[in-house]
Amino acid sequence: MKKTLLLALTPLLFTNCSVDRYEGDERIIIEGKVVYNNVPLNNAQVDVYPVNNKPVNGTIAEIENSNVTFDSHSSISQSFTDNSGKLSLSIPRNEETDVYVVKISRGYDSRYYGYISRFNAGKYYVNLGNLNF
Amino acid sequence: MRKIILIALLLTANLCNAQEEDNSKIGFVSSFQFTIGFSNLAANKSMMGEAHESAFPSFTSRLSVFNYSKFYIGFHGSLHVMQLKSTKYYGNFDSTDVVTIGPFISFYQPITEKSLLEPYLSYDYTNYYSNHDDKKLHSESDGLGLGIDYQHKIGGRAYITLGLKYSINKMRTETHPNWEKYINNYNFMSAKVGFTFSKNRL
Repeated sequence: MKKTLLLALTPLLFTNCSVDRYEGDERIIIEGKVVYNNVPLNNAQVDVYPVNNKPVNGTIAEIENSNVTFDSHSSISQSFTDNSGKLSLSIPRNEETDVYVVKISRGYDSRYYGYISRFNAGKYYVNLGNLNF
Repeated sequence: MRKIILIALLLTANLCNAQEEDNSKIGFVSSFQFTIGFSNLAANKSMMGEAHESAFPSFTSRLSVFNYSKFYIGFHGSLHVMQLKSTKYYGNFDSTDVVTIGPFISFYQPITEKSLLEPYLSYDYTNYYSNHDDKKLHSESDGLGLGIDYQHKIGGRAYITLGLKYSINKMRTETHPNWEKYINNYNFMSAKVGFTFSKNRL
């Protein structure tokens, strides 16, 4: 009986561990513009992911995919750039990390930009500037 | 869930089966209401309003704890689920469960021999639980509810009830000052139909 109970509860234990929790008590506004050959890139998909990387400053730059340590592979926020290539979205506070990356996708091509962290989101607002895709 | 239904039935039975009229102006636990309806109707331009669809069904209940003459105070609660229609500012989730509790104050005014109007004010403390796969988001808000019920007596102490409520909510969220209004101000309408059981009204 004990073994059956233990076997039954074990999957639940792992399920609870993998839950990605957010609190709505803080929200960071993220804005920016995506350009391709200096032309605004419209309808590009924008995703934001929590990560475990430790940035040392607030500079926003392109990051190699292999350098990103994902906290979760499920994006917290998803949007698309408008006709002028602008992106605008907000993210709630992740309970485990305060560092995020932005993924821009167009067709099969995608690139990562970061990091959004306490260095550049102190007033709950980050302007990513022009992101060259 | 069983306990909630049992408590609702006990309160209903108590209020329906009271045998003696009490002419006292003061009463305790003298009115109970449960309704079903729509919520998140005509939401304002806000993060919550633009992110979510209208909700149906929305379950609400109200229990008066104390009344003096036509004035009542008590507690109310509601529950509904809203589907996400835009993930842009709210986040990448499928649906949001909304649970509201709080006190209320009301006043009833008979308009015919068999019907009455009951406007009320409520404080609404709301918890929002959003889900998508293994991702969860919890948020809170404080709100003021302005509502009015039309109640028509259908026998004994039972009234069929139609109601409208406008909720003015402020999310408990810190964000950039330029975005505070859009992120935090969340107002919407709800409409309901159901039953009220009250002693000593009409």
